[in-house]
This record gives sequence, C-alpha cells and structure tokens, in this order.
Amino acid sequence: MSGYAQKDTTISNLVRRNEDWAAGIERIHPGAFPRMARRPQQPKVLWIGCSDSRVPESVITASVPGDIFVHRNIGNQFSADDPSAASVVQFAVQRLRVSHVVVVGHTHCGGVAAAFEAVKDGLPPSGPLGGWLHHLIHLARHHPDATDLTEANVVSAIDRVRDFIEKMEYLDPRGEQEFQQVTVVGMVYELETGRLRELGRREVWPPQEEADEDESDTATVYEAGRYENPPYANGQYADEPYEDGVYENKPYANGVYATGIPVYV
Amino acid sequence: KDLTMAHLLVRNEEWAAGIDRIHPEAFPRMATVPQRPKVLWIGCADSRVPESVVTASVPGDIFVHRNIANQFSADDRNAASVVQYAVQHLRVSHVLIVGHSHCGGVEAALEAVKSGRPPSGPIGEWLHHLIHLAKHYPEITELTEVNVISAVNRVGNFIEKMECLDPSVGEEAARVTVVGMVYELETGRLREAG
Repeated sequence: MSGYAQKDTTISNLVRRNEDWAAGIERIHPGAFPRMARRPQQPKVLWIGCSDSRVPESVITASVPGDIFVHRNIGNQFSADDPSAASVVQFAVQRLRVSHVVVVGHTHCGGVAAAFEAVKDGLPPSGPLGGWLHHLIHLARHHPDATDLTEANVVSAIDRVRDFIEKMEYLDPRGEQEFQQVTVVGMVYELETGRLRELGRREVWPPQEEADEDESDTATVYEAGRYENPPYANGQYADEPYEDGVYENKPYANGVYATGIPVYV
Repeated sequence: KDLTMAHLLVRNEEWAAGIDRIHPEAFPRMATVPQRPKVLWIGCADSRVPESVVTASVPGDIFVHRNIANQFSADDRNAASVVQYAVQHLRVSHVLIVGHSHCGGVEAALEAVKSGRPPSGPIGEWLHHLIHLAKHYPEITELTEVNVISAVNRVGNFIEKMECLDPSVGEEAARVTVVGMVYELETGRLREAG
C-alpha cells in the first residue's frame, strides 16, 4: 500500500476492504481472477440506474462481477442526445449483445426532489445539474406526486431506450451485424423494503439487414479478431490473431457466430 | 418466460428477505435518513468492476457514476452534474476515478488509432478524448493509467471552478480529495494510479 493511502483513512479503508475481499476470493476460488481477466465480459443485462449510494445494483441483486453492465447517473436518465448514456447502450447491444436493458428508478430520489424544488422555485439549479435535470423538471410539472413522477420518469426512459435501439441502423450503415432481440424493462427500487418491482417492458429488435439470398457472387470475409474456434481456409488453420479473410467455417467469439462482411465479387 | 429477469428478481427478494431477518429496521431506516456517502466513484461500466462488490461496501457507502472507460469532462453534463451534486449537496470527501485492466473502451480507442477511423455512432464521439490519448500512448497499461490521471486532473479543475462560480461551495470544494486508481482484473486488487 502506498504512503498516500496510509495517511488517508477513507482510501486506506477502501483498499483494505478490497484486499480482504480479493484475498477471500483467492482462498475459496483460486485462479478465479486470472480466469476472469483472460475472458471478455459477457453480461446479459445492462442496468441504467441512479447514482444514489443506496442503490448499488450488484448488492441488491446479489450479482457477481461479470453479471451486469452498468450506467448510473442522477435520476436514471436516458437520452439519445447524451453521448455518455447512448454510447453505453450502443456498446451493450452492439458489442456485448445484452438481452436486457433495465432502467431502475427508486424512492427518495434526490434528482426527483431537485426537480420538484425547481418547479416550486420557478428556476432550475445552477450549473450542469440544472441542464441535466431539464427533462425531469418538465415531467415534474405534469406529475406533482413523487411516486407518480418516479414511475413516469422510468417509463419515459424505457421508451427512449427502445426508440434508440430501433434506430441503431444509423450506427451500422453497412448492415454487418445480426442483432438480437432486446427487452427493455422499467423498474422501481423501493428503499423502504429493499425490493425491486417491475413497471413495464418493451421488446425491441434493432434493425436487421435482410439476408442476401443469392450468395453466388459474394464471398464472406470475417473481421480481424480473436475467435474461440480456429477458423480455417484452404485446409489450414489460420494463425492467431485471425486476420480478415474468407474462412470455410463460421468463427465465433463470446458465444456468438461472427457475421461476415459480404464482399461482392 | 423471462428467466433473466426472474433470476434478478428472485435474487433481490432473497437478499432483501435476508436483511429483513437479520436487521429488520435496516430498510425503513435507510428510507428515512438521507444518504451520506463519503465517496464518489467514477468508474467504468464494465460488468467486472462493480464498485460495491470489489470494495465490500454496503448501500449508502458510495455514490456512483459509471460510463465507458471512466471518462470525465466538464462539457459532459452527465458526469459534471454527478460531481456537482456529490460535492455541493452530498459533501463527499473523496472522488475516485477508477480505471481497470482489459478495458473495452481503451481497446476500442487503440483499435481506432490502428484502423485510422473511430467506431460509428455515439461510441465514436464518446471515445474522442481517449482516442487522442491513444495516439500518444500506444501501450495499453500506460494508456489506462494516463486516462485515469487525465480524468483526475479534469475533475480537480472542475471542482476548483465550481468553487469560483459559487463561493458558498468553497468549503466543500476545499475538502475534496481526488484520487486515481486502477483495478487489476488479474488479481482483483485496486491500486493507486501514477
């Protein structure tokens, strides 16, 4: 432990608890950490929740590292115009292939409270917080009850996430990817009881590229990357890392078959 | 029908029921007392780095912002509002920026430099700063560290500016320590960056 951490008890406590936790894992599951480091992450769920310290997604769902991909901000907001949240959803759907995006609001949310104050005062908080709460403040004018607003906020977010995922073809202009169905679920976490409850869900398919029926004049080229099965061509296994090429088998990674980029001959 | 959601809800129920049994007053108390975390954690969205699990923290300990590759910019209202709220309203004493090994965002930035083009869509825009750093730090471990240190500096500057714009924030701002860390997937350990 560095000298700096030793002087600062908050940090040294955190580091010590991390050390105890990691040492405990090593005792019970030797090799678990190096194994996790070797494999790419494969979470099924993206959690968009509030930054609130009382709603740590992995603790309240008894999840382990690798289970949940997480974005947390003030008031569990989502907007396609917010590069932070939008890039998280894009990455989760496009690269990690999550099957679920859960947006989780909660009772006693400070963002919700700040939105009500802003409506009451007639002006938003100063600084970036005011701009950030714009949408929530707008909703607060129409939903003056905290529970109602909390729920309306979550429902609004899942609709926006659904719309964003539907439009993802702009993000994949060559139509190279095959996307999976994504279920967007809205939930509220009740601080009073520690329970999650579902508000609603939206099923969405990112835009799919139509399969080219006549393949006689196209070759399939798989992107450079690390695949789990050795791709082969011309009777020979390719060398890792497997370069762009036309392979005779469909290489796969992360449990999903790679999609070839059709090359028109 | 939906096994993934069923599992999530069952695990939440079991966790909550367990707390109810051992500490029946815990949840009602948490609902009536405002949160008082000492620490804001700005980390990566990566599923393998859940802050409360790796630090054995309980609800109420850590205020959290997670995005791709633990970025901070004063122009990003999302992250900036989190820091503002944490410093001004919650009066945290520490802001931690936590990067980690095998970061997908860092890898994507290095790929973008190699291929000469950023990824399409919001991710490309989001990784702009990281791609810029990657041009000068082509080695992944170094880039991971430099990325964290860059964010530490930016958060520090932002907090100082907050103080200038709103003198009432002055006392809180002066109390805040910004620390950069890296979580090593290989060992499960947190270490300080730089």
